Amino acid sequence: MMFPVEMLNALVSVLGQADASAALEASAAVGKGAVEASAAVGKGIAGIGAGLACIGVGLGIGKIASSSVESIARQPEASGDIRGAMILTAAFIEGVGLFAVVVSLLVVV
Amino acid sequence: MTFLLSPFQDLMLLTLAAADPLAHVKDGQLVFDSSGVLFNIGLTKQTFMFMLGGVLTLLFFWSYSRRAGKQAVPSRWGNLVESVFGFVRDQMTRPFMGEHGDRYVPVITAFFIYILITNLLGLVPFFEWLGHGSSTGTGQLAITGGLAICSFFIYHGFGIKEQGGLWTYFKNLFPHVPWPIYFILVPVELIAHVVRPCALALRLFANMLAGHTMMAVILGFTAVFTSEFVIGGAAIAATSFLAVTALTFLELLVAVIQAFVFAFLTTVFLAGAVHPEH
Repeated sequence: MMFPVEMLNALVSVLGQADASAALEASAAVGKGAVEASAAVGKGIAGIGAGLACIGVGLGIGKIASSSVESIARQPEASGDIRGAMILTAAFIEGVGLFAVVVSLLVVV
Repeated sequence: MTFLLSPFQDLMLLTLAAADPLAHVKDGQLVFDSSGVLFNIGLTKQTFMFMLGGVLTLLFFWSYSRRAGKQAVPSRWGNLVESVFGFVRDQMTRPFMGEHGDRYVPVITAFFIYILITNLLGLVPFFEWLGHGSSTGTGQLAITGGLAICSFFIYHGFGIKEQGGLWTYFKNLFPHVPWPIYFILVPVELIAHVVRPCALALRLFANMLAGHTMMAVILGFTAVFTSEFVIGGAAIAATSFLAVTALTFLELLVAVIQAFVFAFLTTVFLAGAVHPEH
């Protein structure tokens, strides 16, 4: 993806070549630059994807924390069991978020 | 004696200055010297760490195995070993399989202790900077994948043994429903059975990798910012030092929790294979 100014510059540089082979090299360089630019954009979008996954993880773990704290407040003698269940389910949800992080890392690196 | 400190300093500076934040957690050669000359025994870092984890697990179990039933009151170390087994039996096996599941306690404890020890080895202070390599044994998908494959064969194997044969076990994998639903149910159940060990492997791997990468990146801020601005860099260095200390405690908690989650899920799958509720 290139901005219009860069496209114009590239077009001028390609057309301004007096020689056919020089024009071919210039357009190949333009093509390679476009490929590198879109790879960089792909990496940026992977970063956004990892951040979006964190929204879901935050909502899920917040809901777990709120309901477990509420149920400990209702029945304090069950707090041991509730705490165990809370940590276990928080680990599962965090695992799902980290799946998304691993996919993003596969794109970035 | 300064030669003992200098390899660590070299490696720390190399890692902090590395442009790629994942360089700290990828596998590499096990050497005790940054030029690759001293004590080069040809292993990679993570191979060494997971073999060390295996040896320590065996030592943990063997240290009490002879004296286990023979004393009326166990010693202090024996109490610790017995309390680990008691924890696995009361919190993991008995709620799912009842008294009948007591025969599976050693397998589940082996998974739990092995993953716990290998995770914790990645947090020992100078050990994770040794060699060119990575920080945790379980931070490599190959090792957690191997553990997940072991778990897969164990729960299917015990399921086949309990239910008396391959065909009976295979029939009990799918519940009894009207026959048109089988067209959807069979692929979904098969995919679920394949995906579960992959999820086990990936969960443990991603937790360990992400924690150590984050610690390396935040610790790298100390070097990166101080090389550009001195005063602001000092403030950022102090903050990142405190952040990495807090993260190390979080990583301790995550190491224990992930070992528990792996063993717990293996118990759940084992219970499902041994006593199919439909």
